[in-house]
Amino acid sequence: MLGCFVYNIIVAVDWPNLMILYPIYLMNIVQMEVAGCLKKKTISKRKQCVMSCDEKLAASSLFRESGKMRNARSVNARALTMLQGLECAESFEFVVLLSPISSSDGQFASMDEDSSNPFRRMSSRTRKVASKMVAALASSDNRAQAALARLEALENDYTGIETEILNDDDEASLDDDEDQGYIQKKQPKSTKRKTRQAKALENARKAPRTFLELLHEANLESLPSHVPTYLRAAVGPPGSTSRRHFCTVCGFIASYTCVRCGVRFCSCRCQNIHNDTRCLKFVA
Amino acid sequence: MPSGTVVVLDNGGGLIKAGVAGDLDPAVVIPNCLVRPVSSKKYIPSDPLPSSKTSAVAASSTDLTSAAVRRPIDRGHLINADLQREIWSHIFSTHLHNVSPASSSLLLTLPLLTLPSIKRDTLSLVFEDFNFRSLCITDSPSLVHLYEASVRPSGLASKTQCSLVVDCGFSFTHVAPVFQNFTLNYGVKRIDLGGKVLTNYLKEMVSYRSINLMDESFIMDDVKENLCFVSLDVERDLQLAKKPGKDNPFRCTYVLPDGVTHVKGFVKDPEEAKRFTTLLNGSDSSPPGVQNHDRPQAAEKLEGRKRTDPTKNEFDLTNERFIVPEMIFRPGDLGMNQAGLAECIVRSVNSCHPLLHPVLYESIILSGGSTLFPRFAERLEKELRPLVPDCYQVKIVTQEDPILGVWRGGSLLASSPDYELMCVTKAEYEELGSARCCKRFFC
Repeated sequence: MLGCFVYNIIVAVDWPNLMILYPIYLMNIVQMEVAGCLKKKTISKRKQCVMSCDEKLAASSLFRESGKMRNARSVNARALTMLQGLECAESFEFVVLLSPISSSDGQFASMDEDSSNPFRRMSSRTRKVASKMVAALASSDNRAQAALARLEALENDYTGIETEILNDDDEASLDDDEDQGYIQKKQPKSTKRKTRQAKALENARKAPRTFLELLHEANLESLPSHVPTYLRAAVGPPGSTSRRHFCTVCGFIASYTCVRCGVRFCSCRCQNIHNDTRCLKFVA
Repeated sequence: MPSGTVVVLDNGGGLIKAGVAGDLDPAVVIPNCLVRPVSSKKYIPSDPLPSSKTSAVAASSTDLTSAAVRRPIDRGHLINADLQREIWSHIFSTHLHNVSPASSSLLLTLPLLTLPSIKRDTLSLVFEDFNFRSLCITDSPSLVHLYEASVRPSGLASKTQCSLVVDCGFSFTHVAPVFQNFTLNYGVKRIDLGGKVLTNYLKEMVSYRSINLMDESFIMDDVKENLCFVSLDVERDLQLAKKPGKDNPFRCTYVLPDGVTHVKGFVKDPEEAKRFTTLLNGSDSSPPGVQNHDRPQAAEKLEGRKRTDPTKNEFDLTNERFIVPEMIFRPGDLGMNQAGLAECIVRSVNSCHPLLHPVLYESIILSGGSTLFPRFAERLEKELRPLVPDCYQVKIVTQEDPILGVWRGGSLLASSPDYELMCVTKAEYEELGSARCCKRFFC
């Protein structure tokens, strides 16, 4: 009976609080696979390491169930010794997701991209996506995606190449050393070459959050309905859904649609141009 | 209480208008971005727009072709306080050098319905980085209303203290009812279309059809401002735009800068650009007889100039000239699931008290840079009239200077005697914290 169950296991290791949420009966298997995964990659500080070990991925959010904590205590000790033995860096968050089997767990949203390979690493970070994009991405329809990609491109700022920022910062710190003598001490420490990935991570962390991120964080839906907010101020969809279509090649009124990507064109000549140049350009 | 200098700063997504209260015009109108020209590696603040006050010659301006741009304002709201601080300190040190922030008060405009975190950032920017003595935050529609009411004291807007302000700016378009100098924020409706999206749309079309200009934001802004207009009948104009040669009243050429002979682009033939104005509204497309007579003689002279030379840096525009501003009236044509400007106005008015409806329809004020397209007001009235009940009158008024209108309203407000009561002083900010101070300002 026990052998047929493979439990959902979410192991969150946060020194010194070790919380294991489900009783682990098949600890040896876990031990093996976790050890294998851990040795494959270096774990840096505060890096979230997610591994999925069987077919489907579990959901991304951690949850607690106090009822199970009692049984978990005994497992705590085992996991602790196992992980200590691997000499991992301190204070890292470590999430292991094994396959969810129990059908009662409706809370898990399994992702469709399967990891049939047990060592395939997938990020479980909740990605907040605008509702329109969710609908479009879920539809897996090339046309909807292409249209949305085009609209997003219209809001583009054309900031140019961003890699200049890091170089500029280095130059700036070298220049003004009047009152910031401690910067001089920083220079010898950063002689180690940063990998491109580390640079990109640092860049992403330094960059200011976009407005859409701030909007999501502000969580405006939770306010009562009589309070006017940014979201309620948006004028809604148009009253009539009839719209004119313009040819994307020449700009005049278009009556025909491209079968592959769904954009409009007005004549055969425009269709040829479209097929040669940018059919499906926005969709990889 | 002796009032020190008040700095009025209209912090827009595209342009910052800054000056001292009491003046008619702002001291400087400068793009709100940092640019990096191709010749240098650092980001520098951009040059101010030439105005009647500045005596600096345009020849000293930096070359803005293919300049990368970084903006502190994303979708209309301030997200990058560091960039904004740099731009403001540049303004205060270069253009407003006789003003010291520590002894002055600041009147700042923020867009409607900002997020609390953004307001907090702005407050900390003002008080902690610049050390202003006091601050008052307002929103644009109430300033526009104030200015218009004072300019036209006998008009309906000032008698009823109520108007509907349509602000088509750089980042978005707001329709806001104002009642007794106070914006009714439950009635505010927003379309996410502004000058930036229009410029990008124009860039996309021109880059596909003629020359790749995707990096040239400033040049395309110039093209848009000089050549685009709003058409009153799109189907008819599209038919006309298909005709070749002289029969086509819309075809126009723009010359790109080549860095040697001219640094800025220009319209090749300004006369040609104005030909569309001979088209009468809804009537036959052939121009009046007098024009026809002049046309053949003038045509030979201009024939050599009119032909576009593909080897030179020129490109043609025909239907893009009126398709681009058409987006504000019908965003659905582009695929955006948002209503157009006329419907936005109707929805905004409908969310107010029924007794206000006739007054609001009769005093519509257009403001913001994107309303400067020729024939904008006519087209809006033509679209709005069928949507409004018969018994109400529709009257649309354009400000005499839509870009500076908000600043002038701010200048008026700051010179009024009650200004001191509306401010939050630095001492209050330090004592109460930013959350309490945000509550003082209703926007």
